[in-house]
Amino acid sequence: MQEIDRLGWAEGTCFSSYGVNIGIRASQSGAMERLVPFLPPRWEAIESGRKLDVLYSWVVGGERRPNLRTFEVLYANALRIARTMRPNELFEEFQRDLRMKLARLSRRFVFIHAGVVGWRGRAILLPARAGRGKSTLVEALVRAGAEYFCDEFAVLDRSGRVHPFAKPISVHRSAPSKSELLSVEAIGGRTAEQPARVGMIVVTRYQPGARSRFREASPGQGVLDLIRNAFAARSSPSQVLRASRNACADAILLRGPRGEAQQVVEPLLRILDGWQDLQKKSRTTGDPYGVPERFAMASQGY
Amino acid sequence: MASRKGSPWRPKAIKREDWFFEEAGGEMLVYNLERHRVHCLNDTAVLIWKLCTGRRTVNQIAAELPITLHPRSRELVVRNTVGQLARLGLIEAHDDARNISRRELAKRIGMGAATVALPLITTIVAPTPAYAANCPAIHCTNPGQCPASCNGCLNPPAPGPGTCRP
Repeated sequence: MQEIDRLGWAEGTCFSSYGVNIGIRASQSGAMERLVPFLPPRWEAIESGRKLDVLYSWVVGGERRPNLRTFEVLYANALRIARTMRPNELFEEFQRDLRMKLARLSRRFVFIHAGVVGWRGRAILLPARAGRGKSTLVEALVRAGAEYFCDEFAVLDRSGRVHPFAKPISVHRSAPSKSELLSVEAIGGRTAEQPARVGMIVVTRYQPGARSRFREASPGQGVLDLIRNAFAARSSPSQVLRASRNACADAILLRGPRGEAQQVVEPLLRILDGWQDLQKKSRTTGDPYGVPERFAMASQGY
Repeated sequence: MASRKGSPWRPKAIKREDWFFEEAGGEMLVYNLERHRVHCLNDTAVLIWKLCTGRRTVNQIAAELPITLHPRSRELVVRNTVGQLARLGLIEAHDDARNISRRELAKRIGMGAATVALPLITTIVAPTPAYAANCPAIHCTNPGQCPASCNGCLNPPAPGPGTCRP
């Protein structure tokens, strides 16, 4: 790290996002502006004296003299994370690494690898590993009128509410090896601005040609599904456990394979509507709703 | 570890201070900090665990369970659950603790439908941070295709991105 410190830095800035303090410095003045579009949502500048969780150091490359080009190099603390001639590659790597750092280091929030949309004041969580079709289902739900939260992270606070993490939807449509970034507005959707309580958790995986079949799971199984996709499960176990438990408290949990996204959107939204009606009824009458009723409702249409 | 001889086994639950416990709708989540395992005990398993006070024998615990089974089957169910709990470190270890599979248990009890109410303990391994993340290199099949922040890929699916290795 001392060797990096010695390189000579022209400008720097500090900001905070989701409770993580981040510093960035660049070897050329005026370069920082180019990084601003790649900063995470909800970032706000902080004073430079604060203790930083991560410090990015960007050695700006480019054409120094005729016939001499130098690499763009980016360090995260003492680790070199990018060395390239193309600035865009460096920016993408910066953005990717920064998101990972937020997910791992956030003390106030628990990051779950999941797609999230909002529907009538409640959030639908789709926790899954990479390549299971989260983003495609998120896109289909947004096209059907759901509010967009994120296609990669479910950001839970301690009470189990999920917060928006606005980023373009990344889908692999044209070719499996190429991801395409979709703006939410471009597909007629809107991004959520307020946190929401979780109404439904769907653990599903796309299987081409499969018939969608969902079974209801217990709250405990739902908590396990969230922990299985939590970034800080090992570093902050109590926080992850509590946030996941609170997120599952009022939610209906469905598990099973799915076919095409368009075919499951309408039934899922219908189940969530039914579930919310049942909860409202239960609150007004004081009758507890039992598992058999929940299961019967969840299995409608399948 | 106690001996098989002498007085009957009175299993005693251990509430470990250094582990995390959370209840979720009648179920119990337990985070084992030493091995980074998360256990989910369903409501019947939780009930058995709570009945393990060190004063009741396995037969007495079985008698208190609200499961409609033959007493011998019920005892088998409790013995099996207590064995599993002992193996997980949630009950003091004992020679009498033994484990049979859930399928074997259902076979011995002879009631397929009864499995719904049987105690169930599910365990997962808590993931490392990178294991939960999308691999940045799309469709990567070896670590050479990934950028510096990725330490290689586990089970790269096709089509779609792989999963970063911690």
